[in-house]
Amino acid sequence: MPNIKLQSSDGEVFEVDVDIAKCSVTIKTMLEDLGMDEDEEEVVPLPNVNSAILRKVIQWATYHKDDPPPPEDDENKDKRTDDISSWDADFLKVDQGTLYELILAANYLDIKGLLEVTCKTVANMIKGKTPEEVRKTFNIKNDFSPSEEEQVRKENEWCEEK
Amino acid sequence: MISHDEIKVEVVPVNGERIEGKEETVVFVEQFVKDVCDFSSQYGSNISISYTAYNIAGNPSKFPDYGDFPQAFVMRTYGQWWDKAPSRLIDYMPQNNVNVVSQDYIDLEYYQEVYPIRVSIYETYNPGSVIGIWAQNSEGKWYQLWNGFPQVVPHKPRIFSPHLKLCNFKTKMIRLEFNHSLLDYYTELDAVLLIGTSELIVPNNLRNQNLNDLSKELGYLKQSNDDIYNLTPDYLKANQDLTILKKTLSKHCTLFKSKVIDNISKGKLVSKLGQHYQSVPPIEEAFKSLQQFLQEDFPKLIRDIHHSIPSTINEQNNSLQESFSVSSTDFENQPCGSFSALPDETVLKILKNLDLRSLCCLCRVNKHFNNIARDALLYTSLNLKPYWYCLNTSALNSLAPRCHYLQQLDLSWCGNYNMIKYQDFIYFLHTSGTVLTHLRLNCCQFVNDAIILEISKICKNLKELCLCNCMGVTNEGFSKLENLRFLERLELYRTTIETSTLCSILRKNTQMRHLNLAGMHDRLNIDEVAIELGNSCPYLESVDFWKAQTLTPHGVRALSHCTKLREVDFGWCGGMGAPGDSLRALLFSCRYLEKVFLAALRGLTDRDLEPLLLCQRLQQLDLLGARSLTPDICYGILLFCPKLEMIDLSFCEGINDFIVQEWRQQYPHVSIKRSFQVTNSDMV
Repeated sequence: MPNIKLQSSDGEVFEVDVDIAKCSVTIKTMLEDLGMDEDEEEVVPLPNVNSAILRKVIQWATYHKDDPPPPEDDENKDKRTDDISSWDADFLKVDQGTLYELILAANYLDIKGLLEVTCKTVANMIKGKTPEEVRKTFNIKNDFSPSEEEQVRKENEWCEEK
Repeated sequence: MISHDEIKVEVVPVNGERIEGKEETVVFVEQFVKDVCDFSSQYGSNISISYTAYNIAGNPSKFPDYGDFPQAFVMRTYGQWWDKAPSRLIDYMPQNNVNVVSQDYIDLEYYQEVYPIRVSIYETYNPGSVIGIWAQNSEGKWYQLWNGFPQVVPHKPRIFSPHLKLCNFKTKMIRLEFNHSLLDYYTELDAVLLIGTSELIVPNNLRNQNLNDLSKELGYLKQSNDDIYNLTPDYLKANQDLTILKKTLSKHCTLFKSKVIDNISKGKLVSKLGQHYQSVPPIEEAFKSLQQFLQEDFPKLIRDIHHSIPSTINEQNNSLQESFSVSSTDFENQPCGSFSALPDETVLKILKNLDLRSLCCLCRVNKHFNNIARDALLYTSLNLKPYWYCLNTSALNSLAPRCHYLQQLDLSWCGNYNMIKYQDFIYFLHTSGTVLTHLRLNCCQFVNDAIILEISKICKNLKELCLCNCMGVTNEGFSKLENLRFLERLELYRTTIETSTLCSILRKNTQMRHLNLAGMHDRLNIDEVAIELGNSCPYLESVDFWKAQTLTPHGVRALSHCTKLREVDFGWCGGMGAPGDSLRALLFSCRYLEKVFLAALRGLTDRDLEPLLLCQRLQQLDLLGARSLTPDICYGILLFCPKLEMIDLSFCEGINDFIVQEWRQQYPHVSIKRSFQVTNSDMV
């Protein structure tokens, strides 16, 4: 299998199977646009991804290399968040900072599956919590004035209880 | 004891104390359903008494007999068959769905308002599909008494009495919710008993629990281990535990009369307590909430008042504190905490996975989230059906400003009992309806002619319109739909549209793919509709004429022009009589048929069905009650239709049970249905 070299923002170079690297649409297009030949010893610079994150991304892509391509239709697909595989769930047991960096990397590299599963993971951290619990989880400040808070509560409390 | 036919009343002393010389008493009421106020589907038709919703009213008529009886209430579907059919509906915004989705409901009215203790559901055929029990208070608000998963239970009659939450208001309206996905066949319900008391009584030692819990605690309610499904083998003794309990009531219970609340002068405190009183009724709890109010909420109120007075000292203090905390991490000082690392587009991607309840909660987190969680991109596809119990005018009004890009809206089951008025929805349409392509308003009582008129003016691009059970729309109202041009799905189950109006709509909506005209009134001439479909709607994929008495061989023949048909339901279309060559012609020209329902067409012969042998995609076939069919044609279908998954041969008298057993073994991938009736004597 031909390999390709990816360079992280902090200068570390990773040798990766081309097919695995191509799960990133960004890298795939880059290779096609630049006409980079697989034999060439050229290094693909990825200035937006550091080595720690790139290592995780490659790990994810390697595990998922045989997945069927994600469906094109974006809007109507199932948005259930309880379908995260146990491997992905384990893989994403990381601190919030890493999780966000993975989201940013998946976004930049255009890896649909990784973006989806990381976004769902964060969504699950929000689900079922009270506003105060959400603030605590993500260290968010409540900047409402008492009257604003009352107003927003009124607008949104209708669906809270059964 | 006073005993009426369907209601039993008993006065029981509560405790030894005598107030003004009178003993305190409570009235126990056991009552069966007085009336059915609303429902989402019924197997029977409006003009018949067989299998209709109203059959659930009154005393049990069949229990403990088990089987398929027309005297019971039956709904239109079971199992997963409808979800596999070409006409299946896909839920919008599936992230709103909880573990179990309700597929049907029925609203039951009783004679007397009571504090409910127990609801006993008499299931006489294929039990296990009840997943929710709700009670409505006098203001029309619903409260969930119980919810659970659908069950796979033995084929026996049962009195299902799930454990209810404590209910602190009187009710005479109960809603049952159903999920049929695990059923082998239609479920049938005979009656629903409501047991309750005139006053709220609470067990002394069990906090927030009701008499059912007490009965269990004292060992009166005996549930053996092999009765985990409440199969009540000893049904004659059902609810006997309560009889014992009544005798010892004074020992274990207190009458809950809100001494606390009655004695407090009206004002802010009462309204504050009132909120708690709604959810936690017992006296102790009321005291506790008063305490909580004084300890927590009251100081907060005072603080809030302080806040609203501008105080320079306070502000200085705050800014000082802030400047000290800058050091630790980058995000800590950002109003959005760790989320600040992500650009808004990415945050939106995360929020797209959230259900409506979580989005509304996020709005309350802070200003930035209040902005982003109301972004119109998150509200392009909105399923409000799971929120039927709480969606009212103000909820709809608060959603409206977020819905400028709304394309798909499911408001089914919402707004009944005046929770939404038609003007509210018209306002919503004006602000958020212009790009709607899909609109589901099944069972919405507020839908009237005025709403249909607005829909026809505002939602020009509508492709899907579901108006099942919208009884408030007249033919005049429906005629406004002639203004639409792009309809691909129209569902009109149990509505009052007339023939010429419907034909005119079909003439103008030539892209029509799915048409549901089940359970319609008999003035609707289905033959003329079928002829119009044959002429105007070449892309038609599914058609549901269930119970249409006016469908004759003419109409069936006309439909054979719609060669793309994948699904037909002619169940109980008695006017078809002997189909002659009409059904042959239809089945012969529609080779893509996947679902063919021909229930209760007594005149069907083997010859009528022969072309089905060429339908290589056939999956579901309902032949219930086709008396003169022989095993030959059925065997042929089993043999030549490789995709066949389900065939209903109930009451096909020409096919005996022995051969059905044989086929079941020979074709294990096909579910062969065979309904039956058992009387109690047979079972013994």
